[in-house]
Amino acid sequence: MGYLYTQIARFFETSMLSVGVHITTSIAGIFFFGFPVAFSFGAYALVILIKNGFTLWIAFIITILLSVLLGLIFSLLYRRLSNDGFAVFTFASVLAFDSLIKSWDSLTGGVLGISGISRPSFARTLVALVILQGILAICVFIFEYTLLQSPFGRALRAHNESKIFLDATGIPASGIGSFAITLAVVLSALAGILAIWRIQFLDPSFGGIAILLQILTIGILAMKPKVSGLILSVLCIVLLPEILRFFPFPSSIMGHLRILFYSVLLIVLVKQLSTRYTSKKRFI
Amino acid sequence: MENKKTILAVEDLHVQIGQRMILHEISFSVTLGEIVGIIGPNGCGKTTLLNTLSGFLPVETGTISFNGEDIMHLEPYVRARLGVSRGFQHVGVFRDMTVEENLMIAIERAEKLPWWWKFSSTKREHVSRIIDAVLADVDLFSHKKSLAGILSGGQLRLLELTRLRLLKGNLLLIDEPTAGVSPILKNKLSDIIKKLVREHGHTAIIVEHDLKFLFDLADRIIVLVDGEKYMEGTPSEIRGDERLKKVYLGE
Repeated sequence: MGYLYTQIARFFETSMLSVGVHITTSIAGIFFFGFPVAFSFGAYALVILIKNGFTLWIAFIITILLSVLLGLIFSLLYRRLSNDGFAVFTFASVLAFDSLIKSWDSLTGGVLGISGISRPSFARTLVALVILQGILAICVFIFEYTLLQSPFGRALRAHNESKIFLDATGIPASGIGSFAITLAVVLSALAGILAIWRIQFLDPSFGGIAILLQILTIGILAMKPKVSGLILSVLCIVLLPEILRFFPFPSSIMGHLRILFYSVLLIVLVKQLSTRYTSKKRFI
Repeated sequence: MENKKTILAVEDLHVQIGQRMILHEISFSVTLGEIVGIIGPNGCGKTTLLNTLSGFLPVETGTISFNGEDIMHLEPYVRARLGVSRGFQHVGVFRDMTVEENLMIAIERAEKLPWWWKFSSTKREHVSRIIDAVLADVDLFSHKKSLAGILSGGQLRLLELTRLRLLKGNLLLIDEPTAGVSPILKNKLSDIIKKLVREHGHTAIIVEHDLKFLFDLADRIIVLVDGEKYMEGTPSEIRGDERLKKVYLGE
């Protein structure tokens, strides 16, 4: 049963992480690749704060506030940089954050990481944690559904087509983009917190290119502004690689096979769906 | 003589893109309820002028005031909120959204609807009634649920004008409304623009290459040549001018 609960938990964690990519990349057309940074940041911030004597709730609130700040920094750069420049910057931030974690031994435990992370008292067992994650994931899905039905949801879709046309209707395109990025960062940080409560061990491999590959694949699969499409995409991407377990591969290469699977799927999807992601050349 | 309020005043406008000065010493004003046409050869700066007025291009020197307020340094979305509405050469509708959703964006902003309006049946009915009425006016009712991207060039223009009407701006900046539009739709576009100005109290600046369309529609014409204001007058004055025939029509 432990395996089943772990897969359900992975589904809920990935769902929360994917709502961010759905809002920014799939719907608003913002090439933001900083999700692994926010995912790791949330986990590290909470664990470090608790290790330094903060109570769980205080640490949780501070972590969310810090992730809002991180989101605002990304938003500021989004306003200042071109679309291509922003994409490159956010991709580079994943590598930079990884280096920072590895080199700041005294705070992050370096490459050895931080072990013995305990779960909160209200989610001490894996089952209780899965229930908590499920409740939060449902809340996040309802939130996204409401958001997509609201004027903000329509503005996000309009942002994908043309920032100029959006500005011309009196809606600030840069404000819409900034809000989407900040929201995505906070949701990713929350997903990181929930994931670390399951794994109970934190090291630099926690967030990275593998996570980015996975959620970008989900983002491309769920390109329509529908929550149901996102849920199906997450199910598909989280569970499909599990089929590999039924093949007689050595366990040492299973992790690599999963990354290979996501990479190949991402290439196929990008090739098939690239026209939807090519910027529309419209002039004023 | 009726003394009408000046809604837009442009003084000594210079616009530079890179090293090239695109507009030099442009000055003109537009009064409330007026339709001003802008014509000129390709590359003379007509669209640049509209982009500058709507805030998408920075001004080198000069002043732009709208309703007596200096709008020179305001962002495009702020100008739009103040009432400077913009129609684009390549039609500024969102093609991946439905016709209905394109209009909802305008209604939401113009009527300051709360974010939760879609969850209220009363507000949904109210918005639906507005959309049905305006779409019926332009014969697009049957396309209400269609993606805007499937509409023809003329229908897209009608949709854009309908959205401009719903945005309730005071000043409409419309760039080449008849581009790719059939003659019968041109008449309809002309009627809609006249209706917007005469009945709904808008003022319009229209950039256009179809002189017949513009001369029948506009109260005043400004001719731009090489980024400068070449001449200005009523359609009848401009139509009979020998200089225009030389620089624009090549006669």
